[in-house]
Amino acid sequence: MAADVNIVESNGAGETETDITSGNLNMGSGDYASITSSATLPIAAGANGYEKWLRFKVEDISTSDHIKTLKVWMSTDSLTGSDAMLVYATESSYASKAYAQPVATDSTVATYAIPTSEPTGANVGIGAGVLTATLGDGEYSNYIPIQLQVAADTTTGGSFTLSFKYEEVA
Amino acid sequence: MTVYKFYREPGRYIEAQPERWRWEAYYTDGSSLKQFDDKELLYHQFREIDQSKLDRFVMRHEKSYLVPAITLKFKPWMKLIHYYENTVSMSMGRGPTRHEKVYCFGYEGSKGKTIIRILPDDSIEVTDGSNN
Repeated sequence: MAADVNIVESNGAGETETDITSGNLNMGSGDYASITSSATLPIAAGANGYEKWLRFKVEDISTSDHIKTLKVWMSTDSLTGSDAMLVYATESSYASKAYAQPVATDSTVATYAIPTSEPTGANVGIGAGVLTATLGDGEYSNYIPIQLQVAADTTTGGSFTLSFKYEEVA
Repeated sequence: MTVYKFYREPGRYIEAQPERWRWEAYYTDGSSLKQFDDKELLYHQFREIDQSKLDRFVMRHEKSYLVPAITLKFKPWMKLIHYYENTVSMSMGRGPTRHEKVYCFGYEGSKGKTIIRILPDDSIEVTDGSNN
């Protein structure tokens, strides 16, 4: 079996971790993982969704040796109006971010426009914020905070897809 | 189904599931090392390949009777590369999570990398490794 690598989300002050790999990335007006639908916790026009603090997690390295070159980007963008998806992920001057309880005020951490095409190199760090480091069994990447900021001119039906990519040396 | 054993530590093994594409390393002395060793029923990691005596690196499809193998003739100045690209795509309002695996191999030399990417439909791309 190839390595089992999941996307996990952290919520709450006490940092409850949820594997959302088979779930969704529905944004909402509450600090929850895998929100059933956007209608459950709608975000008002001109407001923000709660931040999501995501990480890669190597659940089981299995027969593989290591994981490396972690990337995140928005592979389809059907947001409406001036809606913005912000992230902390960058190919240069990267620094790891410590977990903080998700907020719906303007994020002070997810402040970069998310790439809309695959980055050339890694834009998510490992360990002390090293983009070229590797992950082994049971290890996590650095956090990937994201926030959807919904504009006053938004319309219903916006959607997006985020892609999370890693290289696996087996 | 054939079970291949992988020993992460002596005396304890896990079962390796066959890959759609698997590598085979052929050496200048006539010996070989296969990711899935059909004789010993062992799984080998890429780092076990002795590149100092590598002659050919072959990627072979699990249905080798249908899909031709791909051979890289190795040269001493090459640094061999092999990895999987895995992409997990998650959506808001666009359906379930999708997983995609691309088999990548190639080499690095003084003029950069050459990477052959075997896509999910088994078509092939040749890139410099940047995917952009």
